[in-house]
Amino acid sequence: MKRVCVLGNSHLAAVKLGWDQRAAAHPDLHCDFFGAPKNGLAEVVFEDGFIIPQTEEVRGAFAMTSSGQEKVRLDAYDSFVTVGLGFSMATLIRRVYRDYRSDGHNNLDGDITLVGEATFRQSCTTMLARSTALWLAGHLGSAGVARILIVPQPLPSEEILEADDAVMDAPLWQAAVREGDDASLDQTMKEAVQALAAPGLGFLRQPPATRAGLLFTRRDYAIGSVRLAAGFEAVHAKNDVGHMNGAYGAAVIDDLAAML
Amino acid sequence: MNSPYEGLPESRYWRSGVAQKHPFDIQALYRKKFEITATDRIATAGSCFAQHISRHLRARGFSVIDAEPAPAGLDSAQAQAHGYGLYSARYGNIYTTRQLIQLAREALGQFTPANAVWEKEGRFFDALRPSVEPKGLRGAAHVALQRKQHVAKVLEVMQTANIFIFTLGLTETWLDRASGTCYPTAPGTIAGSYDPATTVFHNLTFGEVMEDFLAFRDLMRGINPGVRFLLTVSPVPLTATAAEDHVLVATTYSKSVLRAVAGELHQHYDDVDYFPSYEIIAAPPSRAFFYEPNLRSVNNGGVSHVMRSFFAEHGSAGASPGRTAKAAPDGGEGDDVVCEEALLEAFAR
Repeated sequence: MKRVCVLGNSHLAAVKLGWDQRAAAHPDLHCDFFGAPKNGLAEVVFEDGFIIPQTEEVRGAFAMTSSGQEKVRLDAYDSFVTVGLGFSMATLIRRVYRDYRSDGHNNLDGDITLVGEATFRQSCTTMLARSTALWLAGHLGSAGVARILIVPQPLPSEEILEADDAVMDAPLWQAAVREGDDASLDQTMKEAVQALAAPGLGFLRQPPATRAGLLFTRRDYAIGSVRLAAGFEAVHAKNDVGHMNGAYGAAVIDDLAAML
Repeated sequence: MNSPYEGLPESRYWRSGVAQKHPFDIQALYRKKFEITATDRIATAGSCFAQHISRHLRARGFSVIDAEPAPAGLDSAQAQAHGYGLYSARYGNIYTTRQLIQLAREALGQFTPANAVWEKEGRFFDALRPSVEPKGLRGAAHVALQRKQHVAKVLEVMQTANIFIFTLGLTETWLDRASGTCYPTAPGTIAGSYDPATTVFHNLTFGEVMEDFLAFRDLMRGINPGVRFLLTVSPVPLTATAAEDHVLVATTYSKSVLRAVAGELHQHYDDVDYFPSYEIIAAPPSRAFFYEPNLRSVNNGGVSHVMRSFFAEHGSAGASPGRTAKAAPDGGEGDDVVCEEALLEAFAR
């Protein structure tokens, strides 16, 4: 039996539902989930072999997602998985592509600054390296955890192509595809993952079956996505294009099982 | 019999002011002409040595304009290798007053550089700042777009700076023969290729340097009437000369012209101050011990000493002086300034 601890933010909900659907198919795995909304996982300390929340809110979220445990005992697990936590194409789009484009991009209009391709990619790699996911991975590695897998935040639903400007940087995503920058952005992500790879640290690529093109998730995986809240039943707003459902989580679980 | 030299302070006599002093103890080398405060928006530009001034000013809490910040996520070394954070805009080293006035005119739409894109192995470089993209860009159009964005930021700097600090570096320069466009390096050094039919060497004279700077001053004051100028002369000798002289003679000519121009500007204009970094590093009292063994690069001790003299007059703007030491790690100038002129060393036999 491989004991797996899955840590994440709101995107953990899909993976938790996916595990509920697929646990029987992976009898050699045991998964526990510890989540906290937004960037709550940054509000923890590593102390005496435990991950300990520093706020009541995160402590409560841990207890809710793990069925009662308020802290994570590191030696209770063989592997750790992080879900979301800033490791995403959305981070690159919002934090770099919004203001900077490289000579490898076609979309050079608007109030942007043109930089060399290597500069753009270095900036992206570092932004991902500074994500909470990589911060946790660094601490886990230092604490002696031998196997850590990073599951990226899902790409947004392809519905974002029809979304209005108020939705999750929709104009940026739309322009990226319209102008043909999707391949370059995807390549940037791949290179960042290669650059960040380290012994014991792996990265899951979003399951191919869930993808729509290079930048999006198929719209059916966004239908009925739920919040990281008690009962895992509260559905996201209809115009939420960033969170995925249990079917998406199931695809992630299947791929994770193959890597663990 | 009275003499005008009677009763002068000891700093006015070479023996008491210099020869009998340890270089660190020489006093009153610099008296500021005007205040520089924490609220002043400082623009910096010039030759490689000016990068030290920028960095130390920032470390002391002065408000140095950064109109072209590096993309998030680049560390300091990566950013500097791409021309970010060295000066107030990403113009790279501006060695000559000809480059300076040319850039100002371009920013104001009065000048369009000729042959402004250089090529090397299928990559394209901005001929007027060839080091800011070490690997070049994919196409000439990319270089043109990046330059357009850069020049807009230069105009922003010219419009908003209260203090413009400029380090005069060289008189030797390379010009496009037909248009007079001035390049910071000879074609063929970083990119492009040298063709004597199109590119000509020129060694600026006192009159030309003076004319260039005064024209720049007029342009900047025209859009920013309150701006004041602080000049320094780089103590870094030439790496190589294209003049028909020994490099030592050529260096002396270059620094003499620049120092004389700075002196005359300082004498004649209330809005122009001069800070003697050149004297502190290069004059006989220092016995060259502020230079690295190559007798060219200024070592960290020299830089620190220069900046101590500067801050003795201008103080700090909030940050602790201790941060200055941290901002200037050991390892010598060559480790932390970007200086494409030094690349000329590679052409020595």
